[in-house]
Amino acid sequence: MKKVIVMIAGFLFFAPSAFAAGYGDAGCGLGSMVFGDAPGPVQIFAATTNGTSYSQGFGITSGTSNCDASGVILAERADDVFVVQNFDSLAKEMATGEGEHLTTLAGLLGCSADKNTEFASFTQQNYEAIFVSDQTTSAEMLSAVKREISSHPEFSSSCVN
Amino acid sequence: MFFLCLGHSSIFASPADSEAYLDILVEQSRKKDLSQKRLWHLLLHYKKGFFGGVESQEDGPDFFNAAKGKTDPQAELAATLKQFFSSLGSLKKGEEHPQCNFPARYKWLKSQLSFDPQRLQEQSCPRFEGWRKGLIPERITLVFASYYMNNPASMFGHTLLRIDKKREGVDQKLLDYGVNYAATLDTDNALLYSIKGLLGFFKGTFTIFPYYTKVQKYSQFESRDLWEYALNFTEDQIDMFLRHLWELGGNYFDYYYFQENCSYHILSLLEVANPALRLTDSFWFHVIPSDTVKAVTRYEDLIAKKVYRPSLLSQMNHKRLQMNEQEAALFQALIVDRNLVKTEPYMKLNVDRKALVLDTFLDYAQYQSMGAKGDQKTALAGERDILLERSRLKFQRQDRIKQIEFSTLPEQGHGSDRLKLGSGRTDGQIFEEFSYRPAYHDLLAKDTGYGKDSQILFLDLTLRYYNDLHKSKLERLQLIDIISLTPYDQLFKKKSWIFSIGLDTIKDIECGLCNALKTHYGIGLTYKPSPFAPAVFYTLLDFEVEAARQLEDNFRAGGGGTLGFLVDVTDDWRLQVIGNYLTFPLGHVSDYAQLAINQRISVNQNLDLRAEFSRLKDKEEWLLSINYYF
Repeated sequence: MKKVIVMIAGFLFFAPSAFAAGYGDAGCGLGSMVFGDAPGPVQIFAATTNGTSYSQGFGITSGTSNCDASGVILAERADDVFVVQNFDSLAKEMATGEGEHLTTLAGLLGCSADKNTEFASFTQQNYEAIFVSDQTTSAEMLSAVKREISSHPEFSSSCVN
Repeated sequence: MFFLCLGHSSIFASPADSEAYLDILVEQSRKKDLSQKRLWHLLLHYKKGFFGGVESQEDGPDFFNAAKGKTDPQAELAATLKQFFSSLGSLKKGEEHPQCNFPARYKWLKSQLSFDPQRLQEQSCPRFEGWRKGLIPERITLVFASYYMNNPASMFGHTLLRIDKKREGVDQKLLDYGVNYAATLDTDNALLYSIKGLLGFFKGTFTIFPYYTKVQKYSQFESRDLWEYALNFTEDQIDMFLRHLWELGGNYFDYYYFQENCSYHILSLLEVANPALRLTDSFWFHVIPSDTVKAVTRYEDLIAKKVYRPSLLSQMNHKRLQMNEQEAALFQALIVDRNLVKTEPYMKLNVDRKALVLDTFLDYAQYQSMGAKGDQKTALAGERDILLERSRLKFQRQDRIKQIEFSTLPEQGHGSDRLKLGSGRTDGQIFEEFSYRPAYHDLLAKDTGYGKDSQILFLDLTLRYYNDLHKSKLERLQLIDIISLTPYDQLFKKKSWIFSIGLDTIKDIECGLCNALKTHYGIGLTYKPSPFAPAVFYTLLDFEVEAARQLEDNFRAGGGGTLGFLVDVTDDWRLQVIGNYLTFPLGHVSDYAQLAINQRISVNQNLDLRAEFSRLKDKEEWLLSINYYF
């Protein structure tokens, strides 16, 4: 009988694994992040707890320096925060020449929406100048995009920021 | 009037007049019976208590102005009115004026009682106004995160709201704010985590986040498809929604897994926006996110449009389905050796096919980089050669428009409770069967709205009445019963697994249909020819432990193997064939082989008919049943 208990206990109390520290976004389902897809019954609790390890009321993940007192991101910092948070998606979409993150960035830079396709081609063509090396940071990437825009005959006037 | 003694004393500009006007307002509110109005109960989150009366579900003390506010709507209303008269001088440093802390209550009471601004001064609320200006809402969208790979528990889904900002001409949904209700965790110990969640020891709070962080988390990191339901609310209703969200922002509810969870309070927010909606009434035992989508979509006029947002893996799989065999092989090979882009098989492809292969690879690489531990934020940049090669193609594929939907709408799924009535014959005995479970989806049921080839059941109870024996027997009580048949894929190499624990009936040994405490675990592989193939084959290595008084040594432990086959013959007809063999070398030494053939025909979304046959040793069993989901 003891064996049975030990075995059942073994099933129930798998240690949490694969804690993904890099993605500290709070929300229902952090549990499932903590437990990943480790086969086992722990998942049940993971997906139903919907927990967060934050307790910051109205706020965002990037820290309060980019937010106003009530937790909304300051307009003048919106592009920086967006680029930091979506660096991989932007790298991919600039290379493939399309994507929602890319058109969102175009909007943040004040480019008009009817020029989205042109903007995507433009960043695709200038990919090497925007991502200079595999060490390029998000800040360097953003200032490179802005620099390319300012030296472009059309975008320098159609993107207002 | 006792409530005048509550709260801290306030210094009014002309105290006598303020007190007189407060008395008038309280008297008016009594006459109009405001404290019994639906909106007041929604704003204070009052629910009927077990022993009559009401109790608020809100657990933060700052949420109430009266000491008895949690259970006394009238006292709370009077105390709230009194607080609205507070002078600025009476506030502690950093404290907001009550009118600013409770902007929804203020707006509603003002409209109901027509406040005289001469006698009750309206305060300015710069913090609240600033917050509201940052959001400039145009619309509220309900977002449902669906199933993710190899995790049947994720079938329960998750719901959040998105506040869609008014923008001129540009579609920038990613920059909108998501509203999330979640438990604040203070432990990563799995056992504590479970117990605290079940008993309501976690605090649940509302938070707002840029939607792109949600997309990153659900759609990319966890790779769950998102369904977005844009909701029809008037400007005034959206205003009420925001005001109430602000009231909740600084407070908390005790968080319960099954009842007051993320979905429940999301619904209660929508009820505040439009009190005519009855969204939370029907939930008494458990609230499952997919059920909340059903509750909302039941109001057809409420839904403005539905949008499918494919997860990163769905985007990748969409591309994989467009590849021919050579391209698929090249894509697989590229994962091992990036230099293949410099070799002939790649070079001789047309530019659109090159782009297809590289885009698929980049989706894969991004998914892998999201899974990387630590803060390797620039992981994808490590694929610089591929990114550069891709950008030099100067080609845009533009196939986001034709995206295939890899998951189905949750509101089209069957209900999560199931009632089963059946009749059958086992080993010559006729029996009637009754079965009920509160959640959630079994492998044989139609999987529209659920994850494919998966099962998760809680508290699955089955009773039988044997006609000739005149005896009722507990056939089965499964605490948990999970099946995860994840098709084996070269890219991810996921194993399939099953797990169950509960009471079952021993049938291979003559013990008078005795019950045993049983735990079963199986691990193996599943084969599915393509993501949309109607059939899967699976094989499992099984382990089982049973405990029962009737067994020698009171237990038996062993293992064996399972072969299974599942096919959707038509949309509504599913056939399952399972063969398994188990041998128990420990405890009560025994073994048996079993063959089962099960069929299900769906009559409609919430009704199906089943015919189940099994043969264990020389005993045959038949069962015909009708299953109702609600």
